Amino acid sequence: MLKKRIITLGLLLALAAFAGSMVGCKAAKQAREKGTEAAKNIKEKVGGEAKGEAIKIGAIFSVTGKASFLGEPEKKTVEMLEEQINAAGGINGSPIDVIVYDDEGDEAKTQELAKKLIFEDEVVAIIGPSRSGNTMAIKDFMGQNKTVLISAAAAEAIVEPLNPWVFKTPQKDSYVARHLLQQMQDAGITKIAVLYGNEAFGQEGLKQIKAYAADHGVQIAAELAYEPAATEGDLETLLTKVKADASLQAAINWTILPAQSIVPKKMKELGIKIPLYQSHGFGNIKYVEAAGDAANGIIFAGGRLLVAHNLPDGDPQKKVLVDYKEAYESRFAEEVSTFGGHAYDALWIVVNAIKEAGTDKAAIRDAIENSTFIGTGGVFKFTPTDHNGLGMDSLSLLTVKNGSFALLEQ
Amino acid sequence: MDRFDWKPFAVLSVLLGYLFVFGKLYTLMLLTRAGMYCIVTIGMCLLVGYAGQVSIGHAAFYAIGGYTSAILTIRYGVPLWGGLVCAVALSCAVAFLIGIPTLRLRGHYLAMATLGFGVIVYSLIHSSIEFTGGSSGISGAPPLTLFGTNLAEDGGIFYFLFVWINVAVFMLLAGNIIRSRPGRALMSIHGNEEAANAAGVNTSAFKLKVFVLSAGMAAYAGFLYVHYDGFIGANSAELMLSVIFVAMVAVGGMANLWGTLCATVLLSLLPEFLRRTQKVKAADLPDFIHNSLGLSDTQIFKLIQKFQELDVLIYGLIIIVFMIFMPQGIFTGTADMFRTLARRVRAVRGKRRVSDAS
Amino acid sequence: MSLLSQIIQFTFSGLANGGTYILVALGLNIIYNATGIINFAQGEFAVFGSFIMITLCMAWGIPAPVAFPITVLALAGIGALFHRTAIAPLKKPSVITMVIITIGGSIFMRGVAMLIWGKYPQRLDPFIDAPPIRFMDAIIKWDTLLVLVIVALVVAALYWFFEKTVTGKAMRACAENREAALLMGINVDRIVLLSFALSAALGAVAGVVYTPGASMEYGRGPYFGLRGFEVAIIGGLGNSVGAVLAGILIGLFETFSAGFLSPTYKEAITLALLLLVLFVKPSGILGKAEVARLKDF
Repeated sequence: MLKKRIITLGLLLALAAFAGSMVGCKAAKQAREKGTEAAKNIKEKVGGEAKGEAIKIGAIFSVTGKASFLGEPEKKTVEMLEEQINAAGGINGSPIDVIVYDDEGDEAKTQELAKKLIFEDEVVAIIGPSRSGNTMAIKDFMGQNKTVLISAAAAEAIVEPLNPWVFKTPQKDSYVARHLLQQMQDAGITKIAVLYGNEAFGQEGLKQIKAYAADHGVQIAAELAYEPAATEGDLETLLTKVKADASLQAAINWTILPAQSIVPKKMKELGIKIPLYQSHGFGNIKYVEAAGDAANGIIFAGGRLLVAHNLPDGDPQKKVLVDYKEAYESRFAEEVSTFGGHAYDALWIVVNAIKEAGTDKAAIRDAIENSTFIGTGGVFKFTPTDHNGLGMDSLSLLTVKNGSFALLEQ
Repeated sequence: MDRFDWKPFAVLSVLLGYLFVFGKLYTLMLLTRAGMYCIVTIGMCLLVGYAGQVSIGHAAFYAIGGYTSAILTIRYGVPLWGGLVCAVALSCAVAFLIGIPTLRLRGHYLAMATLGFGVIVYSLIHSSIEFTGGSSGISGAPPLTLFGTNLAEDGGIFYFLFVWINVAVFMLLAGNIIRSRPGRALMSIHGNEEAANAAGVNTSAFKLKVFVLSAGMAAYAGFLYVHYDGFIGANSAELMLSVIFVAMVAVGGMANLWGTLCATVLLSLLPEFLRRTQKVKAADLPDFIHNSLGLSDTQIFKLIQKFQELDVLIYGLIIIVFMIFMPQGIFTGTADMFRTLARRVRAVRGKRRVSDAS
Repeated sequence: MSLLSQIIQFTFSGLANGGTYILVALGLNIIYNATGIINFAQGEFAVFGSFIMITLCMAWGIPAPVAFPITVLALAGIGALFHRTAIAPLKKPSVITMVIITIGGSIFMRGVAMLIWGKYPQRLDPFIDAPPIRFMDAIIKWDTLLVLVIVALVVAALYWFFEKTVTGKAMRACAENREAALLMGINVDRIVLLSFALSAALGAVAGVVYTPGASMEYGRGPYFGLRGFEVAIIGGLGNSVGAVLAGILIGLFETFSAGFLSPTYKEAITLALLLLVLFVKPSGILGKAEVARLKDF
């Protein structure tokens, strides 16, 4: 009896508390709004007098964790740019303050950090995250809170369907897939195997290859996934399957895992002679070094940053690419990668928009939608319906020659 | 037998009320997430702490709840309450099916079976690209609305309140279970299963019930999670999250609901405390560090980063330290510590008084 | 490539993986027999072993045959330290406490590995850098054969240790009946310490044989651990002959299911086998009566 009474009492109390708080909420909310308004007024007054208050820009990268090879160069790039921009007088006299957080590749952390940046640090815009999954985790949230996000992740889904507040700088996955498939069509290849890392990057790649293969008359005879923790033996098993099917004419290996170096090595060991195509994830010279001899001849599509010095002088991107590459490499004593370039583009696009439109969030968004920018990823031409702004020509077919990247000669 | 204790509820209400009116928005957001975890760990506390059945796979139920509701509401236009019912029902059904053979196992075998189950669920979610979105997850779930109010709006202060009222209700519920006949049955299972059986307790039925209940609660928390930010990813089923749930119950002192609640909140907030260092930049460090250590920018960058990577290590350390030095949990443990301290102080004073007198 | 040569290829890949799993599982069994604890940090021992070997060989340039015993000794020390700091201070450990504390230990060790060796995967050069053997279109690396030889040697050495040496017999006695062993004047505490050291050393061997040609990263401990549990349980907890058989079985099952069923769902399929065994016959494939008899080894 007592138990029942307590339960009923508890439920009633909870309901009462809930109803009461709902009423109280409105009052509290109004109080809150008044408070923030007052704060805003004060800020505006102070801001008017003390010119040169720092403009805060947020950044979320996967600096540590599974995707640290993306986030680390991104964070370094942003820190370097921040210094450069401030040394050159900031934006119209105000310095910028880029607050970089690490999401460790964990989506729940990305969500927390986006909240922290918007509500605690009160930034005017956010760049990043590094990974597609993490970007998707806050896509809706950015729209709800009306703050610009410029992602440094590749997946198509970030800008399609379009969220008015979300942009991205890397070339779309589908461009890479179409470049590779076009090259296969030209080479007369009709039957291929697709190997992919069973994580976001590989899975998105598989999706795009499947979507465009038929257009180029290419048939996918086998889809072979491997786990991030795949051993040499596991990859050997998959490649044995490739070897067993003599009708295969080429293989695509789409991943950002170390498997990009192991697969070519294993193919050589097993004596598999068909050409190997890889994704833009291969755009880091460390993978070429790890694969040794076996890397030569791999075909992949990537940004022109990797071959900056070999570009013709007339190329519109050449100056940007060479400048960024030299600044980064001399400062951090390590080779530049395309990933840092995505962050470079994202930060500059935000900074340019603030220069033009001030620090109002909606104004920044509108300014970006009507901007063009020559960056490391290509020549961006944003419109209200195109939040990537890059075309197929932003990528080139590349290959490895004598252990270094080179443009593929058609 | 314990009586209903209203005091902690009063403290909780006052605290929540205070936070709701004066708390910073971001703090409330962090506490909202912590509240969701509390709902999971209250169920886990009944299962692990009271019934003594360890489960290292509860993140699976959390993810099943979230994914079910997300897929139904986004792809099939099912209303939110429908998503909720299906999420909890599916999770309970899975728990029931997996629980019948699993709960026959004991000790380590049970831990392994639940661990294996958790990893299977993760791997299925992660690999079924077409169905679950694979590693990219599912986004675009509609926000939770109640009485026509979008709870996630305005930074989600209503969501904070809603989640924590739920926590309070679940605390009442769990408290009632423990004080009732089933609760005593659970504790007898923990104590000695054979004896409980002999005393006429249908141990397997009780174990199964509490397992299903905790799975349902985890699914409900998953539902709350997915309709808060509109997204769920495969990370929500990861082994590490299951482990953290167990750690929360352990740090809370196992069979201690309020301790579990405190431990959950503290451990959820831990990453935020460690994050405070992330704003430090290589350029911010004074020149003498650059000069005297003779480090390059890259090396300093790495050094700063090292300190930010400590959270994994600290989690592990907290678990070990608590298990060794405070097995009774953060709540009772701290109280005991103060009591011992007070006793020592009194003893010292007493001695002094004695020596003064002499 | 014919079906037969595919099967040969898969068999060798599977055996190489299985060899690693056997070593992890044997380590688990030794601790289980001595203390009744399942050590959830066993996979981390393998990671540490691998990383120490990598540091010695790749960074310091010590030749592999010298670095190998150093690594094993270092891990034995770490194992003993783990016991002294995390396990021994407990007064009345219940199973749940032990599970949680070893999990805590594994998380802690993962954090330490990340701090020392960073987040990037690290490479170890192959031990035998010679062209692989070609047999009916299948390619077999010398390292794979070396792994199998090392695993066989370790198993034989363990057999000798437990059967012929006084210390080994004392450990068996502890496993059989702790109180009786204590009464016979065996220093049970030292035996437990020794079992942790031995188990960590086995973990080190597992990590070392896994790494050459492949790479190691800090987060791989749970992978080793999980496969180790699977092998230990399917073989029957505490049963070392069972572990050897189960290791071979799991290694082959895993590779063949990836090769002929679905590489995508390999993980789920392999773990489903574990659940099946747990539900149908928790005592492992080698039934109860035999477990009791073979527990010796």
